Amino acid sequence: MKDAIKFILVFKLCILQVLLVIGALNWFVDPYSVRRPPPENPRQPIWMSKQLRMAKALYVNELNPKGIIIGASTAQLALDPSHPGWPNEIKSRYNLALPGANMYENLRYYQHARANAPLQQVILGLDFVAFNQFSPLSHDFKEWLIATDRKGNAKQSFVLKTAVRLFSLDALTASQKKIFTKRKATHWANGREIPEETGKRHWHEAMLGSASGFVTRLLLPPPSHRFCIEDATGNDTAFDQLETLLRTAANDGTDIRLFIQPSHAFLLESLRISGYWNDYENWERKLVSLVAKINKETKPGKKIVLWDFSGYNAFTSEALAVDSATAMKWYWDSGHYKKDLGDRVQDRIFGFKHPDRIGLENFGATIDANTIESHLKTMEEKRKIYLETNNKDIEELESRVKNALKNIPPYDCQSSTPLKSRL
Amino acid sequence: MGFNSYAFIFFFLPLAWTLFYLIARANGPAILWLVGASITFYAWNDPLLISLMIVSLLINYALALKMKVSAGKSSPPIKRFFITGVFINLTLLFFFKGMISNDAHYQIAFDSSLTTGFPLALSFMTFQQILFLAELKSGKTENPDFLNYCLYMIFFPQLLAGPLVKPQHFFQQIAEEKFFRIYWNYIPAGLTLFSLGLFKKVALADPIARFSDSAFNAAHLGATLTTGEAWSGALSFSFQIYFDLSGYADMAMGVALLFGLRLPWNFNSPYKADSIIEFWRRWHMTLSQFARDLIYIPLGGSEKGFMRQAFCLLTVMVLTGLWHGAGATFIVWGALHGILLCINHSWQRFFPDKTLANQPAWGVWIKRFATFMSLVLLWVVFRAENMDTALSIWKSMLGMQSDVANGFNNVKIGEDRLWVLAALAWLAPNSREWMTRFFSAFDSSQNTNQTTLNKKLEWRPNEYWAAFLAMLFIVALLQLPASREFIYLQF
Repeated sequence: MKDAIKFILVFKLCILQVLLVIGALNWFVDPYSVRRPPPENPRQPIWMSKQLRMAKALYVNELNPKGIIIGASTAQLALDPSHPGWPNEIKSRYNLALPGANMYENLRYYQHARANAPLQQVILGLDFVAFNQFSPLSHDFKEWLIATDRKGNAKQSFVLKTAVRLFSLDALTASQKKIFTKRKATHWANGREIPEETGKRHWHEAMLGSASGFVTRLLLPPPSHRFCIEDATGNDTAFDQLETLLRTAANDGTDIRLFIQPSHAFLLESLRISGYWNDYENWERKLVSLVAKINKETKPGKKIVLWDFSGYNAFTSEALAVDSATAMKWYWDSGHYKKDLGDRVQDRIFGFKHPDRIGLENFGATIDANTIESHLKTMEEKRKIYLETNNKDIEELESRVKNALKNIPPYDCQSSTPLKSRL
Repeated sequence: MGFNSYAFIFFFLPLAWTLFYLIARANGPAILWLVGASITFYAWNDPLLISLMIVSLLINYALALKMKVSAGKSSPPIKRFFITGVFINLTLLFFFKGMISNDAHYQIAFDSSLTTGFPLALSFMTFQQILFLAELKSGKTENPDFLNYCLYMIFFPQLLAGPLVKPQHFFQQIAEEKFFRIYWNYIPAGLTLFSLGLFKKVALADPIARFSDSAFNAAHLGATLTTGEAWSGALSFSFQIYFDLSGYADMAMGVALLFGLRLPWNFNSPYKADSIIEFWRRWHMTLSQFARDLIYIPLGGSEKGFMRQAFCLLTVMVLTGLWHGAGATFIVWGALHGILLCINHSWQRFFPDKTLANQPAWGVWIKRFATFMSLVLLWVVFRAENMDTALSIWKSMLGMQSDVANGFNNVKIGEDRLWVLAALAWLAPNSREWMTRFFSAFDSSQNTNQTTLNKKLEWRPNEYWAAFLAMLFIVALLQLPASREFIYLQF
């Protein structure tokens, strides 16, 4: 019995001691920036762990934002929640967009934020690829990070509140990274990503390479290398998820604004070259009809507006500089646009007029059941003009995209029968 | 509630343990408390499941009472009640298995965030009920009082995924007076096995799971895997399920020891087996014994010639496959195991001299390796969503796919981890060997493993072992948020 008691004591003391040390280290280093109250200045640069889904989920727990931005990396990089167009009464706002987030993740993070505080304002950046049935969940997405179950019912979680922050291997790894990276800032306190330094950026390659990379990595993501909005049985789960999100927001009386991202024209051309242009148009039509369906059930003053900033406008048609080292004005690459353009997107969404940002009347358009066909037609006409002046670049893009598509096996969304390639 | 959850480790287990001994000390209804705790454990996630459990307990106990009444009369009524009991239990089991087979394949085990309608622990409770009725029929056990019966059936350490415990083994232990007193010598052993099991599950099985998921999901989505990706997926799953079940077996035994109860060993380094026959003696041992005693032998076993034996083996293995799920993959997996067992048995019949004792060490290792490779190939069809996926992975493993570029599928390969896990599975002593010194005090058969382990390495309740196990416990604890459900909970 004496040996047994000694064993139990040593066992428990060792556990207690080591856990205390680990807990104290994580508490002191605070890898998820949640120990102290969030900075008052939303534009204060902070270090965020690369476990971004965990870091942002925990941060939202502390901040309890009343206004959020959701979407993918495009929205994370370009949309500033501190934009002056936002209603003044919404003080705490957060950019909760996550790289590679598909519609399911958008819905779950929306539910997470909603469980922490009633949401007054939501901006949702829509990416075509986020509606792919085969868009994989990010490896660091964890259901237990979300403060609700799948139906949106809030749940209490010891794991989220304490264990993950102090007593997890993830926290320990993040602490170690934070110490060794010397806390170099990665985000602003309002959740927007700080762009990487671009001193050695090869802009020409960044634009063309990202457009062809978009096809193989995002449009047709591995391992399936498929793009299907509907599955074989005709279900479009991503639209169901969007509908749940919109319906919940409408029931809550949340002001939710949707917009299609202003991707560079190269991205749209990549879609055409790969054979997905019709899918893109149909996607827009489906978005319009979903919004109309929700709007039928909402009060007149609370209608949801859908903006489309894609197409061939003055910004998205920005030409590649002849000198490849010269920076693009509006874009980091063909999918990611800069904050200056993001500000203009928000100017339009909120109807905000900034003295330095004029001439935006033709940038973006609200689309609905009455305007969608003429909108798509206009897009087609503008494309013709775009091609006239950018033919050489598009030829190079076409050759790259076709080369990238060589290895993609053909498929059919409606059946398992092999198809001839779309090319 | 799983053993690998904060709620179990820091709330349920300490509370159940403390109150049990406090109640027992005050001569209160300690068994009733354990039954209540087991019901709470079972119903933690879905309270509605209790109703099914209670119905099963009442029906089976009523049948047991009927069998007791009939015992004084001729045997046919006993047999009739036994068959009725088996029929009711199996009907219930296959009703739910059939219900979920179409749309919930593997959802619990491989994506713990998803749920399925299959009642937790129904499989093991069904077998335990049948085992109880069979032992009662053969007169090996007495009919216990209702509370003891309930505890035997739903005692929480064994409830979810075994081991299957023979009733007499259980009732004997709870009948002893010392069961109601803290048995201090058992506590370090219990903590040791619990920590080892938690480490195996959370730090070994769960981290490798993402590599198997990555490959199997890719193949399921139509990707053609490279040879390396396919082997990575197959080996990852082989080690995932190995350490998953091994971890569960250790934890179940450890928790039972904390309550002064010894459960039977359920796992004995199955990848060290040098034949498929040996594998099934080491893998989920109590389930294999159950299949042998209640299906294989009653069907005729090996007594009536090789053809009859082959029929029995195939039947048992197909039923075993079917028990995992009503899908084609499980049936094929069971049938292939049955065929390998037939080949193995025929080899033993025709070459009886080629026994292990006559083999050089390298010969044993070759057989062990060949057995392991067969198992890996068979785990593919067990894990795959459908036969197309399994066939595609098999083709990739055999290098029969062409034009697959490395990195194209973005499948994660965990090569370093696989080497470590292989070394642990093949070279490290298992829990039973570590604990020989402790268990040999109760069971002389434990000494059979003693020769394989240096005496100095054997576990003993000292401060060095306490510190070492505390470290394993902490490593596991730090990874607990990312831990998954045990694979066998879905079966």
